[in-house]
Amino acid sequence: MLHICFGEMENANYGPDWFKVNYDPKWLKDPFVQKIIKDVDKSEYVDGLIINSPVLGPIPPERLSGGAQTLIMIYEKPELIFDATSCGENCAKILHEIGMQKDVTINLNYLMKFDDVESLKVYIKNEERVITDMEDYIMTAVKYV
Amino acid sequence: MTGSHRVIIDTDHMKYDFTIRRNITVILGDSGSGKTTLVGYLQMYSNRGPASGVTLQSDVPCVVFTSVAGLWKPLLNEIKHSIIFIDEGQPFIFTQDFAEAVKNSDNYYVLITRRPIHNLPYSTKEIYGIRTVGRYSFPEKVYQEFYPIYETEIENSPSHNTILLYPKDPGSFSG
Repeated sequence: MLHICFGEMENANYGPDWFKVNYDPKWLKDPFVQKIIKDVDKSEYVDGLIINSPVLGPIPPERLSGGAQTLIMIYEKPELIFDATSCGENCAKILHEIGMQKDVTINLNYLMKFDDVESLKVYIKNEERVITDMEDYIMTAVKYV
Repeated sequence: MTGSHRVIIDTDHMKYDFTIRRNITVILGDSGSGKTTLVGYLQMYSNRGPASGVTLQSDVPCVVFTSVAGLWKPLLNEIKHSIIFIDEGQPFIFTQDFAEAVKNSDNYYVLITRRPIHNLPYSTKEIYGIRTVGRYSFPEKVYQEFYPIYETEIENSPSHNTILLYPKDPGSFSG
């Protein structure tokens, strides 16, 4: 499940920096990572370290958006906590999908809406409870961000 | 510094064209919309000027500010009469000290952050996203512009006036 801690957290990692210095090229072969790249950056993984961006042309993984890089880190390193404030709202659906696959904990410092998620289910660490209702989620989030 | 300042950043592949109107502008919006690329171009221009291959048109200097922890204040104090761009991941912008530094300087600040900055008084009208104008497909040139994230609308009713803020359609970027 996706575990969310709203507000400032001392041990939250900054995904884009982590990705740039720690990514494993093998991750790019994973169809789910390719889905992240496609959904968030509208880009296609080609081969090796080449990603084809419709805006930037052929780019290395280091030039993926901060949101895509952070999502990949959350997916590949579920034992670490990342600050998902680097992820825009276009990352929300796939972030929830990651939470459906494995237990991950993220830090959030803005109200990320999960409007495109059909069945919301997140664990809010600040209140130690599971939330499945969107209105409840929003009212809870705004208390902390 | 007062008034509006138009900024054009141009390369063979991409052009940003926007106007900064107030001393604090906030950029947020979807991942992959070009926020970090914008800062990257300005950083290249800051380092090498026109030799970078980036063309910058602005009537005031545009500076990308990054700082090692603890040293931001004296470094920031050295910059005058400029538009200062600060990318996300810079925790000092949320401090009261930064709010004081902004208040006491004549610079304009463009802050890339989704996290609200409670210490700074900025207008919802000056919160922007970045979108691509028209169709795009590399290597055709891509044109990027700022669009206001929130539209304001005053709703009049017999009992009270309410200002509504709602997200504006980001337009042509997605797709």
